[in-house]
Amino acid sequence: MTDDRDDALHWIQSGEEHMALLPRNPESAYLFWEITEAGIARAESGHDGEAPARLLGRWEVVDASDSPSSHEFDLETRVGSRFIEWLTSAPHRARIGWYASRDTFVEIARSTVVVPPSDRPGAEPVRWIERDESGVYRLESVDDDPRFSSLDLPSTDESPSSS
Amino acid sequence: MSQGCVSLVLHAHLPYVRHPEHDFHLEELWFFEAMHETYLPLIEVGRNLERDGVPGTLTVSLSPPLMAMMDDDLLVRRFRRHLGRLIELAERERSRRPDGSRRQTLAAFYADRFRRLRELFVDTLDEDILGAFGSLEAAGRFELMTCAGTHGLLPLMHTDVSRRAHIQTARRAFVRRFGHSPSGMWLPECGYAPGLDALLAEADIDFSILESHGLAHADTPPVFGNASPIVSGEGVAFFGRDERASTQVWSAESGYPGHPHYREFYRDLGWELDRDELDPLPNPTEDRYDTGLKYHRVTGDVALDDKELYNPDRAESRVREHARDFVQKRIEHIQSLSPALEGRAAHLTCPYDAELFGHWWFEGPRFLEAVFREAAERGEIAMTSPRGFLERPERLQRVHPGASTWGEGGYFDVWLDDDNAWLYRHLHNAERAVIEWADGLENPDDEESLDARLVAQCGREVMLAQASDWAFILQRGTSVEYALSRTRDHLEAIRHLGDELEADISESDGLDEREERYAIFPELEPSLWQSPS
Repeated sequence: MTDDRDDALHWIQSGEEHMALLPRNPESAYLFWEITEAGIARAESGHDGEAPARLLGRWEVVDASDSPSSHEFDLETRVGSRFIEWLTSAPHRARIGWYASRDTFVEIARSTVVVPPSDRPGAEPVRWIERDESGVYRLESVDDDPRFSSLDLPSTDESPSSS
Repeated sequence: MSQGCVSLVLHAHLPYVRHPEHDFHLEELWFFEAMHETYLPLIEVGRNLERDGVPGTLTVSLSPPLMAMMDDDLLVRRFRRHLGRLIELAERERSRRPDGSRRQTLAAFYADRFRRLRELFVDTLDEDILGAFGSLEAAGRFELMTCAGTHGLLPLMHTDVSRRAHIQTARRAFVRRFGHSPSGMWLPECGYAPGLDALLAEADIDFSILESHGLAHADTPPVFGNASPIVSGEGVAFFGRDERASTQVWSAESGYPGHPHYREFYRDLGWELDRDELDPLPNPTEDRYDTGLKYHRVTGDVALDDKELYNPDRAESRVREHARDFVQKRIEHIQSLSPALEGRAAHLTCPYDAELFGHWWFEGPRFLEAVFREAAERGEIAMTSPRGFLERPERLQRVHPGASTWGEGGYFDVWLDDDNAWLYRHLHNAERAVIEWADGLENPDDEESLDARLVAQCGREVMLAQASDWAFILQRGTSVEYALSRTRDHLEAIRHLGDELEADISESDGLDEREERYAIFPELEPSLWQSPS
């Protein structure tokens, strides 16, 4: 999917492979991409010149400790975008390419790895630091057990909006 | 003795709007309105508190585009001209309204007010409002901080090179104007994502401010909630917004500005008078616009046509009442927090858009002044600044904050929705192009080199295009054409200047004009846009 408003900017295509995954909120992200014939040809040459039968976009969880998970879609345009839903709260990346065999995904472009925004606190130990007279912080102690605030912190639904 | 501390933090920002090609440009009014409704009244607040020896510090974040406009000769000259026209319009109103009528009294109120502000700006401050902010900082009344670059939403940028360019350029612009490094840096839209603290630390930034769930959804929950700052792994302190104080001022339903006695923002003479009665305000496009002369008060839940006339004296009474309420509620909040704070002083961080005070809420600056006076009188809270609080010897919790903004929903939805998400493809492309051109420079710091100048201007242009204002405007659906034209203008300039760079020309067609038109960030060096070596 592209947008008519893109055309007015005269920069719809950079002529390079690019894929970006932008976090939107804990549930969703925005994915956009651009691939070129040259990029496809480069990927083909790396795989014995095998032409793509069906170009796919996919987003996937990259945290090995999580259960492997991915979602694929038919790539209908070389330049496009879509909103997606995170599969888990683990880091994700997106890729474009095709299957050369059942287990081999030939990649044309990929995004950086992106961590979905969190909607809950983590459970790391509590660490305390002190600031010396020169303004430098140093670690003082670590509490072994996470301590949960006894003070009320709002959820995002309760936060007043300023923008 | 004070039981706790409160920091009021005002973030002052407008997009960089400067159009030397037109004698009158509608969007320059954004700056003029904010000058006479917010920024000059804030200077009055600081000077009044200083004159009367009222203790406390007000923290003010000045964005680099705003600072650039405040000390731009063309815009200052045009602002002075605009103030003169407003005085004349108010005087004409006073003359044509029936003697003794309430409208005549209100016209006189505005004429006196505009005169007083012109005298302050022209005669007292010598048209140097940044100098006035600096003087009030030197006096301890204000604590100044700045904001990253052109107010781009840093987490949605493509590279750390771009984020670093915004942060470092802002720091340099602040140092050039105030002679010292900023201790704090406002993150545009309070937009944070893990990793930004490292870039702030590189720029020697001590602290910033986050939406409350940036702390609440950190890697470990802050033991003291928002009542104490935390420090990130990179040694940058973060203060979480106190949501109760925000609601009291921001809430459309229950916030102070909605009181029936306060001035109504949406009813303005610019939409009511006949066109010839609006002289001497220019109107080359036949578009109507706000004049700043507003005769009506909020009144209640009634149609605009049914609003009643404004009474400044009655509004002033409400200001004092609301200031007492605000201080009382902060005291009560701090008292409720104290048992859980293990003996430490509570600190409440109350950040707001500066333009709320005066522009949107006409009586806002008077409210701020009244809050400081009330707090001093009560003596139960100290009106401090984040930097001032950090100077206290406190053990702080080390926390890695979570991704967050202060926009609707608390994340990035406002700047990444159906109406504006398409922008980012172009912004990312422009970012990558500028980095590639900067990396290709042989002598990036040679100011005389045409290539270095071209890259520096491309850096300025992409930063201007990245301002979060444009995506916000597209999402809100107001001034859309202007936001589109600005984005298009900057991106096309990058293409044009980039084409010249790649063509290895000896003389540029357009660089001088772009440098003059967007006279922002003279300190921007092309090396800021180079990849890390």
